[in-house]
Amino acid sequence: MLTYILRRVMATVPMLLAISLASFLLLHMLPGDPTTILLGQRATAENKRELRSRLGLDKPLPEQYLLYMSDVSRGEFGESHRTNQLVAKELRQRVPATIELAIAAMLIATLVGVSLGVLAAVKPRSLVDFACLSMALVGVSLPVFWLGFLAQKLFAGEMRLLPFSGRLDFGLWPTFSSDTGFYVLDALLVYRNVELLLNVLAHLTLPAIVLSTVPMALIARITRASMLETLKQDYVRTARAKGASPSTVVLKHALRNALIPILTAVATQFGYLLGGAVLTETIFGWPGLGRYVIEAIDVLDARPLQASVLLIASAFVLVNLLTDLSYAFIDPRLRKKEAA
Amino acid sequence: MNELSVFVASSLRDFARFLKTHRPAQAGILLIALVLAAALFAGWVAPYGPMEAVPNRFFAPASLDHLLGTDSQGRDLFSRLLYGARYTLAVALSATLLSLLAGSVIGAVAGYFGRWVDTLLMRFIDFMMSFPSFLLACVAVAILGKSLENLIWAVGIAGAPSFARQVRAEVLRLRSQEFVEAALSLGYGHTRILVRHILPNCLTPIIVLGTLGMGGSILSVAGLAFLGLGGDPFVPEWGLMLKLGWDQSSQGAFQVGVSGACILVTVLGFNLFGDGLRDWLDPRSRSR
Repeated sequence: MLTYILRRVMATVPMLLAISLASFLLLHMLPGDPTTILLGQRATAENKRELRSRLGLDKPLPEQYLLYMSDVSRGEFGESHRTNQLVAKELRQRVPATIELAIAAMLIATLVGVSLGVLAAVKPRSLVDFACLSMALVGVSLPVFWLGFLAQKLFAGEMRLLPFSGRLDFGLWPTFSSDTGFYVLDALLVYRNVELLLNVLAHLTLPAIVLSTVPMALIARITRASMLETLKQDYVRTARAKGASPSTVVLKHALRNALIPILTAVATQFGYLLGGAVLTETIFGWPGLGRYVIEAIDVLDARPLQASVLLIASAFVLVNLLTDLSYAFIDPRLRKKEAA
Repeated sequence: MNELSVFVASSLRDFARFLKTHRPAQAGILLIALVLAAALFAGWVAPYGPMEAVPNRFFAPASLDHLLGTDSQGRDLFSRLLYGARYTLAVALSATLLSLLAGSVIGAVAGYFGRWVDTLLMRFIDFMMSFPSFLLACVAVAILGKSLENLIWAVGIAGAPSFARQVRAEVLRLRSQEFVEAALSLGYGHTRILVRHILPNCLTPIIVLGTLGMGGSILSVAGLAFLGLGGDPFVPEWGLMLKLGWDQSSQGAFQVGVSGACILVTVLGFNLFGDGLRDWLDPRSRSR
């Protein structure tokens, strides 16, 4: 078990190094001179010279990389020439926004996806099964931004049920400021205000539902397939023969064993959402990490782009690592195999 | 290559038999045929040119003159959608072919030669896959520059790693089979064995992967175009048209609606058909 964990952890180290190298090289791969990219078009020749020596851009690449890494290890990602703000400071608001949205979307996707998949597997070729399969198909075929637009038009525009965009009505709470960046947590724990919390949740609802469609479709599909497979096993028949109630058989005996592929899908999708919510964030004006990347690409703002790429890819690798490690806890057989 | 044509012909017959019983795949073919027809016959069917603007008829409602009304520039929306099928399909197809080509070469070489070649190539693929593919495509456009052609490269590159993995698995399976051993003992070179013996056997799974990949490519291209990374906004590609409508807020809502519906229908077609192809190839998945 310990060797398994160690080996798996060690395998991610070169991956993280490669990611850091790629994010470093990004500055040199973007079109144009790095100093122009960093300072923007208005930079004077003198500014550029000064920056060149300050960043060590005149030094050889390996040395520049070490400088870059020492900055990164201190949590310094440089400055955005678009906003003239420290990237680290901007990320402190952007990253929680994306995590909050991703968690909300994954909660919806997992709850609905797994339930739908289980129901479909219990009654194959029923109406529920058909609904599950259709949803799984349409969910991955929908352009997310189109769905977002339609949902926004309908629920925010026509019916005025939910807010149009953003994370909060700052008109109603002009003094609200979130230290953590997690609005739900701050409304709940710091402000302890139900109305504020409801307003935050109302803003979260539409983007979370729209973002949940793709993971929901994949989770439903995998749950269904995995459950169909498990329900065919001998021990399930034995459990039934022993007189266990249908719900016990399905939920305790079968679902637990069908869990690993489902968990993989949930984790992978969560990893994707951390960096892949660009389109949903754009539609709903959600100031998250995905939006940050696009804003940076738009004006070739190198530092934010480097930091986001580094952050998103590292998070993705770490989520995958945690998933692999969690298998050992879910499935005792994997633990034994390693020990033997 | 005569054996190959016999193999293809018999596979096609087998597939046609299978298709008769597979409703979703039939629906998929129908949808794809519809979009393909729009692309091929746009020149004859469309009442207006894709760039032809009628002066002073901005945002005209649907009428007999303009079946779906006009856009912000007074161009006929229906005609633009028809021509849009050309651009959307061409861009997505090029991107998918690029992914397939790059992925197949990497996967085949890695799977065939094994050992350090495999380790090196697959580490590289793992590395590529540590970025969410849509993000990878976004960054690629940032490096290459915003244009529709560069979207092809970006989506093509971002899609290659998953193909590489699956082709590698297929080649690994074939590598240990007797016909490869026979070819080796006859003294054939590695290139010849890979290209003439192994790859033809991978053809069917590669086609399935490509069909399923088309849906993803169309969505990625449309998504990138929607984010404003597609260059010239007046090209009648569906993602760009959707973006153009979105920029016009409420007046463009209808344009957003119909462009998105076109994307949905096309992606749905490829996914339905691709699922059918996969079921045909892997009978184990038929019950699922």
